[in-house]
Amino acid sequence: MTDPAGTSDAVGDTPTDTPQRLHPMSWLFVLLAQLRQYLIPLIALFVLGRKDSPGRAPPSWDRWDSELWPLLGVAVLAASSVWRYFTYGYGIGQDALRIRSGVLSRSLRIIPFARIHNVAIEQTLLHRLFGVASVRLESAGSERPEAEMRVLSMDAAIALEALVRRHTTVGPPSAVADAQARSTSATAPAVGGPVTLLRLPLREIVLQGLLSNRGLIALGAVFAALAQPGLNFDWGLPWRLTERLLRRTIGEDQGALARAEPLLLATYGALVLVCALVALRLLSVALTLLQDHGFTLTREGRRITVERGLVSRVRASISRRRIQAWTVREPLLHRLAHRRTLAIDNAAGAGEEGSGHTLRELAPLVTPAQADRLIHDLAPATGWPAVEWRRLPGSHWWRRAAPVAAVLLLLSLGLGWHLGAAGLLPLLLLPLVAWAARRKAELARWAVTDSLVAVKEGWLERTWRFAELDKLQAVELSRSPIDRGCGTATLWLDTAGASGLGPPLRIAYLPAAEAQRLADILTEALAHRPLRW
Amino acid sequence: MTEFRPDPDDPPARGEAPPSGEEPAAAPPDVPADLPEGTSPAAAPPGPPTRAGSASQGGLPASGPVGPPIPADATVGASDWNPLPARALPVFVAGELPFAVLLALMSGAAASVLTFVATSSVGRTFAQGLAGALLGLGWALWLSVRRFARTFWRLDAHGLSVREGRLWQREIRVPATRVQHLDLTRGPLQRGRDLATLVVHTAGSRHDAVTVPDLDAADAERLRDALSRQVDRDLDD
Repeated sequence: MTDPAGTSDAVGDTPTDTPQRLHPMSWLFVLLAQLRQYLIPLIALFVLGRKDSPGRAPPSWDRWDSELWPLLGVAVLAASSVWRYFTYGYGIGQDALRIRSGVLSRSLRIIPFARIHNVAIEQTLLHRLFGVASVRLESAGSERPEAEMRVLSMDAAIALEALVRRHTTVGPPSAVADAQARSTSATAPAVGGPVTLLRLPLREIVLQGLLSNRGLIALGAVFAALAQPGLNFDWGLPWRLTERLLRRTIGEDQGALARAEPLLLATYGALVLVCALVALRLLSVALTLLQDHGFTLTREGRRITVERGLVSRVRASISRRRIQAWTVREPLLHRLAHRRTLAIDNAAGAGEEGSGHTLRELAPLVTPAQADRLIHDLAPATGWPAVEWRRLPGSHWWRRAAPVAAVLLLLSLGLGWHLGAAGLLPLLLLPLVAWAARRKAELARWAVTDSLVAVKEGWLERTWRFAELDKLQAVELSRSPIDRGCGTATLWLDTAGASGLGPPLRIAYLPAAEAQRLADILTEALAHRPLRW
Repeated sequence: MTEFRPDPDDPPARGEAPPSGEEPAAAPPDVPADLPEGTSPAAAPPGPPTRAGSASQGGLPASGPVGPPIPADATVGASDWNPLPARALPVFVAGELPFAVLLALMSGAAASVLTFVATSSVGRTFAQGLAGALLGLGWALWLSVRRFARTFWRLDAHGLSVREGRLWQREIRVPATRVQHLDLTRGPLQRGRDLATLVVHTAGSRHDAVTVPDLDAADAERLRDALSRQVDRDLDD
C-alpha cells in the first residue's frame, strides 16, 4: 500500500490547507460498509427467493426476478465507492478541519477542532491487514459523527487524533482553560507523554467475562435471530435430540424407559443446566476477550484515551472536561469479587449506545480503591471519594416496596380467585420485599457539595452516580400525590448525554423543604457558572 | 398536605385578570408592563394578593451581585409566577385533544365491553359505549382545563422556571446559562389569539427541550430575547 505522497507528514506537524485524500484502499471499506446495510436483504433474496422457485432453474438474467440482479447492484455500489474516493478530500486548517465530499452535490464541511468532543479510531481485522483505520470525529449532541473518514492509513489517523488533542489542549486562551490547565499540571506534572492510568491484564479480563452476563445477551440475540419468521426454525429439535439420546442409552425397551425415566431425566436436566451455565460463562469470557483484550486507559495532557479489542481494535479519546457524569456500578457478583465498573457519560455520539465507538466505559473492572483513584486523577475538583454523604429520612422505606407489593397483592387476588388458598402464596414474598426496601432505604445516600452532585442507590447492585456542578443542565422538582401526602419531593438533575437506561441522577424521597432549598441553591450556582462542555 | 411554595392549590383569581392583560398578576398597576422595571428581582413589588411570590424567594440564599444578570427590562413580571393568559384556554385545551380522544376511545371501549359481557345486547352496548366515550372526553377536557390553571412560568435573575401539573406536579428550572437555543412557534389557532409557544433547548437529555405553551406573544418574545441575550453573553467570553 503506497500512501498518497506525504499524507502522514502533512497531517503531522505543519498545518496545511492542501486537500488530502483518504487511503487508496478506502473504496473497499466504503463498499463493505454499504454492502453491510444491504446484506440481510441480499441474503433474504438469495435464500427465500430460491425456496419460492420450485423448478430450481439455474440463475440467469432472462427472468425478471433473477437471483443475479443483486450482483448488478453490488457492481453499481463498487463503482460509486471508487467515485466517492476521488471526490472526498480533507484539509487541515489553522484551527479547523475542512472536508469536501459529495458525488453530485458537493459539500464543504468545516469542523473547528475545539468542537470535536470524541475521536474514535476503529480497526477491524481487514483494516489491520491493510494497515488502515476508520476515523470518526464526533461533536456534542449530534447523533451522527461530524465526519467519518473511511479509511485513513493508521499513521494519518493517529496524527489526526494528536492534532485534535493538541488543538483542544492549547485551546482558546480563556480564563477557564487556564484554570483547567493549572489544575491539570498540579495533579499531573507529566503533560508530555501519555500516562497509563489502567491496563487490564488477561486475568482481569477473564474475571470480567465470568462476572458479566454478556453470554446471556448473546444467547438472547441468537434466540431472537432463530425466531425470525423466515427461518422456520424447528423448536422441537432439541427435545427430539434428547429423546433420541435417551433411547440410545437405554434401548428401545418401553418398560425400562418408563422405569428409568424420572432419575434419568433429572440427571439429564442437571447435566444440561450445568453445561448451559458453563457454556454461558465461557461465551461471556470469549466475548469479553474479543471486546476488551488489551484494555488500556491512558492520559495525555487533558485527553484520555481508551484502547481495546482483540481482533478489531477500537481507540476512542475525549478531553477530560467533556466528561458529563460518572457512574460506578457494583453488582452482587462484582462485590463478592471485590470489583467495580466505572463508566462516564459523554455528550457526543448519543445515537449509538453500546457500539463501543464513543468512550463510555472508563474501566470495565477495577477494585474499589482503583476506581476511587481513577476518579480522583481525572476529576480532582470533585474531591472524590471524600464526599460528605447524607442520608434520607428512613421512614419512607415502604414507598420503595409499594409498587412491587401492589403487584403481588393483585397477583395473589387473581390467583386466589381461581385456585383458592394456594393462590395466596405470593404474599409470602411480602416480608422479603419489605426487607429489601428497608435495606435500600438505609443504604441510599446523596451529596451536594460546591463542586458535585452525587447519589448512591441500591442494595444487591449498588450504583454511585455523580456529576460536576458545571455539567448540570436543568433542575426539576417533582411531586407525586404520594409525595405530597408524605411531605417529600424528588429532585431530578439533568446532564448531557445521559442514557435513559442507567441509574438517574435523582434524589428521591427528600423532605419537600430540603428539596426546595437544594433546587434553589443549585439553580443559583448554575446561573453563576457558564456552561462548559 | 404540604405543597410547593407558593401553594398551587391557591391559584390567582383568573377571573380578576382582564382578558388582554396578564400582567396585573405580576406587576404593580402603576407600572406599564412594557417599561423596564429597573429593580432587582428581590425588590419585587409587594406581592399580588393571592400569590405567595415572596415565599418562593424565601428559600434562596441571598446573594450579592447576581451575575451575569438578566437585563432588567426583560424580567417580565419580576420574580413572580405568571399564569398563562386566560384567552389561551381554548388553544391549550385544543392542544391536548389527542390525549382527550385517546381517553375517550379507551373509556368508550371499556364501557362497551363491560356492557356487552353483562347484557350481550348490541343496542345497549352501542349506547353505553357512546356514553362512556363522551364521559371520557368530558373528563379529559376537564383535566386539561385544570392543567391549564396549574401551568405557570417565571423568569428571574437565574433563568426560566416552568411549573405544571396538578396530581403530578413538577417544576423545571433552566438556568439562563444553560440555554442552547430558543424556538418560538405560533400555530394558526395561536395567531388568532396573539399567543406563542416558547421552546427552550438545553444540552440535557431528559429536559433537552422545555416547552412553555400558549404564552402571550409579547411575553414570549421578551422571554426569548432575555434568554438569548444570555446565550450571546456566554459566546462572547
